[in-house]
Amino acid sequence: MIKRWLTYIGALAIAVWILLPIAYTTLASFAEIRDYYARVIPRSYTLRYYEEYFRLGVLDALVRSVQVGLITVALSFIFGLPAGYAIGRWAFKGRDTLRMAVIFFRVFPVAVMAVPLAVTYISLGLYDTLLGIALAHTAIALPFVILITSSIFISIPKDLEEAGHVFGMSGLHVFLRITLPLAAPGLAAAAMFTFLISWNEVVAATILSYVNRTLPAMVLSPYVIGTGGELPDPYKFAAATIMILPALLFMAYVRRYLITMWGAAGVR
Amino acid sequence: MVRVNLEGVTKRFGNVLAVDNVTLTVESEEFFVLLGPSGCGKTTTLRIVAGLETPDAGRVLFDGVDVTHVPARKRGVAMVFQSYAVWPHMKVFENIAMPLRIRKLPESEIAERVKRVAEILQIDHLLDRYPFQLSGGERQRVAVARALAVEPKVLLMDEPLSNLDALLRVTARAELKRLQKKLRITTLYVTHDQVEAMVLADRIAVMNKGRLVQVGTPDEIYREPIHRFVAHFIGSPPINFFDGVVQEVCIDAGFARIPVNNVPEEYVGKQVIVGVRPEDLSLQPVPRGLELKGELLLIENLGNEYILHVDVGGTTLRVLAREKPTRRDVTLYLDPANLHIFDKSTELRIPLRYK
Repeated sequence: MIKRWLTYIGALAIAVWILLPIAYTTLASFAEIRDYYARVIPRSYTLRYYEEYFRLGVLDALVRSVQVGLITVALSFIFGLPAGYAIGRWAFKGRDTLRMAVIFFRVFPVAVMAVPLAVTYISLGLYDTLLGIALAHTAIALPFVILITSSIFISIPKDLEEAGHVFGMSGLHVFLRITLPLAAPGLAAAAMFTFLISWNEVVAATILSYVNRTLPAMVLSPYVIGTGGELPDPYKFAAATIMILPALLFMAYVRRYLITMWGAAGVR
Repeated sequence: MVRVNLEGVTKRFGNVLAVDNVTLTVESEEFFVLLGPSGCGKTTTLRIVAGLETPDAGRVLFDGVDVTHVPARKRGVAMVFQSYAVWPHMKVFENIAMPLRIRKLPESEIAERVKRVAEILQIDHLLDRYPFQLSGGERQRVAVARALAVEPKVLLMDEPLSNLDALLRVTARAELKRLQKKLRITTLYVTHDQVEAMVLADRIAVMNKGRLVQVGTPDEIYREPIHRFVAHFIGSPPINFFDGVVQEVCIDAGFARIPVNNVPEEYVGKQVIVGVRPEDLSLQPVPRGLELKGELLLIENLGNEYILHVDVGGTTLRVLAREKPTRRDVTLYLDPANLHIFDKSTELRIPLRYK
């Protein structure tokens, strides 16, 4: 009984920890500036900050963000999935070194890499294109994709694939009919994670684009960065809410699929 | 059905010689068991026949045709894995049907074949379930059904009973034997369980450290083990060993002088290991029996039998007895015709007998 109550209290604490900042951020994004600085909980509200962002083209930026995210997922899976499979499935010379090398790519700070990258992009004609940003995001996401997918493939018993070979399947058949369906729940999670990396990335997106900005670059650059942080807080809260909202809607939508997938994977 | 030949098959993993120059023939329709301790190369040998490993040297022949470099999927074999390897994302029906789909059989025949093997293995009521809804025994049946449905040239089994509980293993064992005799599929079966091997096999190949030690019928392997290792590995409770020296008319084992006759001259003075199976020692006098006085140390109760540990002049012998002795000092009777004598240096059998 006591244990049960402790569980509830713990769950409540975690929920408050996550939800309270989101709730306050949303609330403050509608507050009149004078009211916001005067009270803890504002009483008069306005849509002004949102109107401003919409006038600046936040919807277009959102569409671009989704596009960049999808291209990033596609590219990083095209390159990362075979690498993850190889590292997870086959013992070969230098495998552990390779695994470490993959992690080491993460030590290069994006901010340092982004400026030379911008110069290169200009000469290649990739500057200010969605593909350009997606390529940079792919470089950032690839190590994660390789490591996550390799551990997903490790967790699939080799016997199941070998049974496929013995019972007449070609290598491609085995991958499509056995390995991939079994890896699907994990791969879906990895895809979502990759999408979020791209969705949240701001430094490279800001430096590598000028007009065709992704959502975070767009909402952050003109006001927060452009004014040196002098902008009134409700503008920033509105920007944050715009960032959070699509992710929340998305999670709410895929939640039941996630539970089905992970539920099914759990009983294996 | 198909005859399988291995010719000088050798396989290395790094520095480890997993299979060392193995040559053997599995006759058509034969139930052939590879028996040995873990790490002896028996599973690797099986996987080479399956096509899941390629040997470094040697050939694999199916009915005289070299299949050494034919990929697994084109060999027409079926395999029951130790883990069963039943595909978890497919229902039982799909698990059995999938290999048939790959072979592009018409849907009506697939349904027909699945139904038939499911009935044989009594899993026809489970076809609509997922593997995680099945018990270990049921999963094992699904794995066997999947293997039989493809009507393989050769059926390969890698310790298919080792994950079942003891009672189920005994029934499943008898069932496998019955099935194989009925369907007459050439079967190569890997196990480390000597009882399983004795019960199932038409012939057994005992392996140790990657090499074949002895190939023969269960009776041959049991009665005439050609190497100390085979004598030691086969038989439960395990055989008793003690050292001795060959003399003109007997073997001097220290605590006893065991009569042998027709000793060739070159054997005199040879150091030997003498093996006596626990069931060849008796508490009742046997004709020509050698009397051994000993002291009872321990009794293991098996329910219908007892394993007695008896100290005879410093050597502890295990004795399989029908009844419990009442006193600590016991007299054992040894029939010298049932001895297994091995050269101490080569550990190979020496044809010394008492007739």
